[in-house]
Amino acid sequence: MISLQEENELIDQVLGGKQDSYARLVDHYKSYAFTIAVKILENRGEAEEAAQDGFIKAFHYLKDFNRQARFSTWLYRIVFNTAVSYKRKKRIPLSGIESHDRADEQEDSLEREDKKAFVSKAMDHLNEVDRLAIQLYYIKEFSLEEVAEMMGQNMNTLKVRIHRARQRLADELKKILNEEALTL
Amino acid sequence: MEKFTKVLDDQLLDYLDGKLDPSKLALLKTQLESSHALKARLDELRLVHRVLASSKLESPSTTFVNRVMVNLNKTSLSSSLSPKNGLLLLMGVTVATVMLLVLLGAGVFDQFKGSLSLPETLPAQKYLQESLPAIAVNGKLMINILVGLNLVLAFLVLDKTVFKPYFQRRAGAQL
Repeated sequence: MISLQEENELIDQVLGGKQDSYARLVDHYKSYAFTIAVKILENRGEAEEAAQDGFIKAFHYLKDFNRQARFSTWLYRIVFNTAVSYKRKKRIPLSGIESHDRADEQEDSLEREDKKAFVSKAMDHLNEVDRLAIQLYYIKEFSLEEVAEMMGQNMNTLKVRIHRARQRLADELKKILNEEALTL
Repeated sequence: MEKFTKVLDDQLLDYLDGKLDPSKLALLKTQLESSHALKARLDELRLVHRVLASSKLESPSTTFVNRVMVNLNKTSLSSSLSPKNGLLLLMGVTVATVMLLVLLGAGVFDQFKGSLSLPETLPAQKYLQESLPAIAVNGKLMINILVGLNLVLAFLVLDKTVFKPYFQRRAGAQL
């Protein structure tokens, strides 16, 4: 864990020419950056490349970083934009949200997996921006402000968007569960 | 009715997020006890909330940090011209330049000299009192400019595709 003061010191060291200090920042934020890229690209290989590219861009633009915002928010926005441009260029096909959760799949109960699959199916009815907003909002460490900043949206607009997306998901889920019940 | 449902949905979602005002919270709890439909709606929204909240942080590969650090002094991966495309572009520019120089040497463009008069039927002509000036055209000069621009482009592509990656690799090897 890096404190805000430590983070500022590391940024100063990097700006002073000590490149190795950047490795600590990369190490600290790599999972968050990678998760953002995975949510956007839904492809781990592409996401890894996009997240790395985001870190490289952030390094080159570090001198322009004004410290009024948090470094993390600034970095996530760069990673977000990089991943979005990767998606536009490569037109990666969409897949379900939980398709990458392999580690704990075996431990999960069948019922939980079913619910996940149904929510994933319901997600297909959301537009891409809503889907992304909701997924980023549920990464525990990201506040609503951070997600709004990352996506370049007004916070109130984003809050409404996330509320409506969840309502829509609940409605779609209800329909799916009713259909499933009828086929039994 | 729909507006009323949306307001209640918003309150239920704020409740699930733990962001509902204490004053509204007490009222909502009373409503939940008395309304079976509202309780059912809360269960629907809670299911979505729980599934979404169970998503975890993804871990990149173990070489992630190293790969960022190795590529730090290279230009952005997505914006760089791939070596294959760069070399193809360079070849195209070189062939075009050589062809232009051969034609120029053979004197093909020497005859393209003269002036270009604008047609008198031009729509703007009826508003002008004086006749439009003729534009001098020198084919040889134009091709020379084109060759010059091609050479500048060829140098830029050569720099981006060959020189820059080469010197970056050398600098990286020395670190």
